Amino acid sequence: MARNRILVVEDDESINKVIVKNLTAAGYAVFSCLDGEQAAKAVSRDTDFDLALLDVMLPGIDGFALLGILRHAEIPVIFLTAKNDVESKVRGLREGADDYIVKPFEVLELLVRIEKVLERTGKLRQVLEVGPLTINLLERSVRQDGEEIPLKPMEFDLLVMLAKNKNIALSRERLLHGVWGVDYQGETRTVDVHIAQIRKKLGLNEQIRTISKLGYRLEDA
Amino acid sequence: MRLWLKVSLIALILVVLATGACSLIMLIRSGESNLALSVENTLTNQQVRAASWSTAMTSELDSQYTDVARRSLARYLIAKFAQGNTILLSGADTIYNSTSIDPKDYLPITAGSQQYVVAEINGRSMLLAGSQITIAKTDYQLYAVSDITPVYTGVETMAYQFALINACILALAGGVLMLLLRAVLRPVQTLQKNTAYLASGVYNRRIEILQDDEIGELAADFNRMADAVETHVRALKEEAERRTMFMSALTHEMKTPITGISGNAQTLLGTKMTEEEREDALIAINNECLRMERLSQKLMQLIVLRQGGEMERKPASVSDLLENVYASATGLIHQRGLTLHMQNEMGTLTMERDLLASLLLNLIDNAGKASRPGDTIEVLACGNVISVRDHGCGMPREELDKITQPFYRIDRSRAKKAGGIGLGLALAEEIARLHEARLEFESEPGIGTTVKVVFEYDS
Repeated sequence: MARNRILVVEDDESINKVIVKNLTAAGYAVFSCLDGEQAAKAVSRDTDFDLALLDVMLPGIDGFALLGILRHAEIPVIFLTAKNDVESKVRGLREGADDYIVKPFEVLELLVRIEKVLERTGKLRQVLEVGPLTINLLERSVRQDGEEIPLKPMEFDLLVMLAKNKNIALSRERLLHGVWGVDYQGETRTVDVHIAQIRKKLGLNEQIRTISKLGYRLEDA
Repeated sequence: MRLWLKVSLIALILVVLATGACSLIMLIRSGESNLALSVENTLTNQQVRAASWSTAMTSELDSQYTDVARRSLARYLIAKFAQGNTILLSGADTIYNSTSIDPKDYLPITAGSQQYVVAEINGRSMLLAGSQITIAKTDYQLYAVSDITPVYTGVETMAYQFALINACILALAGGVLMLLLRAVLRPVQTLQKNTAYLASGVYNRRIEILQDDEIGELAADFNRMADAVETHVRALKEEAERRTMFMSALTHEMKTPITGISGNAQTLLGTKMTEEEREDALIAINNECLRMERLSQKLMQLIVLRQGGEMERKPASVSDLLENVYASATGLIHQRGLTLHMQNEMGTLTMERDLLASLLLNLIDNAGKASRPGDTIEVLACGNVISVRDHGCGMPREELDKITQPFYRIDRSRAKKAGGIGLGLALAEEIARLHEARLEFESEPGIGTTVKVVFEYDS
């Protein structure tokens, strides 16, 4: 299955770059625009986007106007807003945005929200590809160069979380909460043990990198 | 107690006292005169009877008459002259008595002169008048009795009537007084109601002035006060709103560089990147930091300007000012491939030179950003106006009102690329305000923009 295509409309060049870099690293196909007109043009040519990240304050056609166009093209929208007031959030959601995220935002939070919206709208890819690995979420199977490798449930979930955020480091706490749940009382060593297992079973010593002071990162190659 | 009620009651008490006193005096006077009249009548009757009787008695009496004959004559004559209640005594002997009264109990007469008394007999007021008459050595006492009860009952009836009349007057006067007072004091009530409104924060109510008296003047003063309060409150509210808006604009403005810095930092920390990408991210962080530094500097300037501060303005030559500005702007103008043309017809102007120069540089900078390479920017000082004109892209009319708002930018990303913070015109406006000047904008998309600094001094 092809990668999820995401339209990014953000007028601040630096923020735009950050978003594009991280989404690309995490395995999304990204089309980026710096203003509303460009975005409107892009959508008029090609409506095959799974999601749009949309800044509210845009020069030219503003976020709310663009929202109408995107809704018309049936593209789910996450609002990026610097305004942390209820009014603009409510307006965004009422006019059909699927979610919003307030600046300054955390990159990982952005990835989670994108994933949730894709999941809700049924557009989330069910097959993840990381280097030689093919992870099928529906079958809950992992294939390495076409050969299925059995993993325990927790190992599989951990691998999926790393794969969904590939090329981006995740802390041990985040992995622990994400896989074992927020109520889990265990220690972060649990994560280390499972990582060791995955590395051994899949031979991913190089690809799953330990990032000092932070955690782990699954890399493409 | 309400004022109208209080005043009415006091007035009514005064009316009661006055009419009561008058009535009382009149009653006493009329009672007295009626009594005097009755007394006089009775006395006259008695006198007339006594005179008639003694004359007849003297002429008829014969010295040969026996006592019995004399008594009979006396009785006969008195019966003839007596009209109504008459009593004739001779010592202890009652010769004639048409009443049931024994006058000796009330008015024993010894001397010859006329006497009278008012006595309460069987529940009635009786007037007894009598005198002693001596005829042929015999003492007779002749009484006239009259019932003067009607004099007293008349006074009583009159008192009742007076009371009734007084009550009527009182009721009428009371009613009229209350109505009048209420009508007179109604504006006070209105005034009070409006004061209460004012106190509770409703500032837009005014009193309709209907009277040309003290209350009317008070109402007019009240209206003036309400005007002043409303104006001040509105000014305060506007100022508070302006501050809130400024704060929210500032917060918003800070968020963009913070998002850039934090996003790049997170990416540097966690995301797999090439060396080149890392360098890009660091440069981006550095740029955002510089931008925040500029923002804080401009903000400080704006705050200092808004507080007014102790700004020393001195008369200075406008041509010197323009020379300064020209020198400072040269670099910027050449960089963009523009021409700056200046013309001065102004003499001196009271100014803070550095601030005014910064205002003009700001306007020239804006003009430069709007212009295309090869364009000319003209600065003209004439009359009480210094204007900066460009032939650049211009602005739509609806933007003109908003461009002096802090952080307002027509094209944010283009402004950012040019290094704009969005405070330039807000600063310019503050500087103009400190010089008692105002900024006027004329612009036409595609043709250009003219910004005028209009000084409102007396030249």
